[in-house]
Amino acid sequence: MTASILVVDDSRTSATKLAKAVIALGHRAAKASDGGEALRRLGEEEFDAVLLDIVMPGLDGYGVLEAMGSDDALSEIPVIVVSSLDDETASVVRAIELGAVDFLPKDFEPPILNARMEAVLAAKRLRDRELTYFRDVDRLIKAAHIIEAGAFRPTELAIEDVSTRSDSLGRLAIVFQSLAQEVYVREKRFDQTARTLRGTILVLIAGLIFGIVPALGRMTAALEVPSLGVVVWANSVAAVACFGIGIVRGGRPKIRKRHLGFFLIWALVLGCFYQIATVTIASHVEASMIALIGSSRGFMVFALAALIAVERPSLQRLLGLGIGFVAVSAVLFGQGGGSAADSILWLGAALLLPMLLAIHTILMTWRPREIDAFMTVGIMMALSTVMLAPVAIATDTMIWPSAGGGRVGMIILVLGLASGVAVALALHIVAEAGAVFAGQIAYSQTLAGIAWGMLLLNEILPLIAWLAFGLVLVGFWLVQPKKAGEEFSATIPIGR
Amino acid sequence: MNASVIDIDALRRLLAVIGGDTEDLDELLRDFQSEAPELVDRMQLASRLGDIDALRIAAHTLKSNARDFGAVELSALCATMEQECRDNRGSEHGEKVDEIAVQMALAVQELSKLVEVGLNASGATD
Repeated sequence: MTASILVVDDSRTSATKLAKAVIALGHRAAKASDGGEALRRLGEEEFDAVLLDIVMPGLDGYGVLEAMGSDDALSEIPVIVVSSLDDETASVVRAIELGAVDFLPKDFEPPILNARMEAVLAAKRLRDRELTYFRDVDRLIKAAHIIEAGAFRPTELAIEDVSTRSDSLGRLAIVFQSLAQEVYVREKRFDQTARTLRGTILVLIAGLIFGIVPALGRMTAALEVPSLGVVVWANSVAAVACFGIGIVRGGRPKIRKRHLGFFLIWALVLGCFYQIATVTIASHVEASMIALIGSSRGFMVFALAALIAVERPSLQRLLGLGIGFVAVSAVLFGQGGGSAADSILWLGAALLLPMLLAIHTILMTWRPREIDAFMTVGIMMALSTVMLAPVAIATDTMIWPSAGGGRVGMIILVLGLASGVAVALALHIVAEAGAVFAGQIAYSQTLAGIAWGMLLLNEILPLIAWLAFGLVLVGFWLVQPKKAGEEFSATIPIGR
Repeated sequence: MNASVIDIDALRRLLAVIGGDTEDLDELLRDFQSEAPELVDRMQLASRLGDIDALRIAAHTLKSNARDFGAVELSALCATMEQECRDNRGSEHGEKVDEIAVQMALAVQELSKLVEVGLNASGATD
């Protein structure tokens, strides 16, 4: 087997002679003219053995041996000292004490050089195999520790090299790696199922809470109270409630300068534009038609998320959104929604509502994660109150505590609490399951709106609504929350 | 060939050590012919400066190289010089270095002839 040998000799004649002798034996040879150059080349290239002269100006052979002995990377490279035995016996003894494995007289015979080189190289190859084996055992032990310590990712185990071994250690690594991979895939699948279930439940709860808003809106309209004034007070209640819940949860509104842009845009989109647009459009377009148009929000989130690469689009997710939309549309048309002759212009304007909600859903993916969800909503609601209150006062649509009595106060309280909690839940769903999945809140919100109407306004819940609910659930399953990324870690419970 | 200056058997051994290629031996001879005068210059300088260690190292190197090329007398003179330096004996090294210089010139001259006529003609590859 060809080996790579470093010849160290200050005499270029002696170095050339040794190098040519080494090459004649079928090995590769490189030359270094002093101790310093030898150490530099040893640090840069891999050598299987060193033929080292002792007497050299500058760093001599002893110095090279001492430096190699104290360097873990070099201490395993065997050194044969090349010496004139007739007058340097003491030198050879000292060199061997410093770590040289053998010596060679300067006037060596080729068979002697060959025999010593082969013996040294055989020992080196055996040592290299031993070191590789120990290193691989060490890596397997480390991989076992990672699994034992708790959560792991297959890439963390770093035993791919060990599994390429052809011996039993390699087989052990393959089995170990396969089992770890199997557990990881299973855990990831289980996590996805759990996320779907958790996401579905949260979307239903958020929709159920948010769905009460239209019913409360209709109740407010019946009391002839200006909607904008109600919104200003409801947002204030939401802000106070969310701050309160946030403080109880241990959060503090640690707003940094870099967060200001996010909060301002979010407050404008959801707290101002959406609220004002809802109030304005609701007076021109039938509520059921607004709900129907609002259900397209899922598709808008899907398109926006794909456009700005927040989430990966897929046909299955699009199909899931389509099923939900068909189900909700069937209910709304079944109820006679859309029968009123709303003007095309206002119907077009109504598309602004789901678009604003879609932007709001995407915005939620960029929320500052270090701020508690309720605190985040509280800040946004407070900001939108500050923005809307002057508009309400200027347009003479602001209401004051005396107006409407206790019934209006109760509506404002419930509306504020429902809005705050539902948006905080939506924040959580976006973080957990992604914006596209959270976009389906539109469906659960519409269906819940019908249910709340039945409860609060004695409306009749049609049978088709129940069928639609089932279809919406099927849609949830098809849309699936965003998958866990490479950061997902699996856990194998190990008894001690 | 001056048998007292170059030992042809030593050259044969050297040729065997490097694998039997005469071109490689030619290359080695050229190395020796250029390095040996440098080593003698170094010895002369060290002798003038009284740098015993440098003198010893140069003598040691020339001793080994001369032995490889069969320059027996030169190698012996260098060995004596190295030993004296090691034992710190002898205060006047200049004359001995001059003697080494003469022997080195003779050896280089003889080896040049070998390069010119070729080793086959001189019987080194018999």
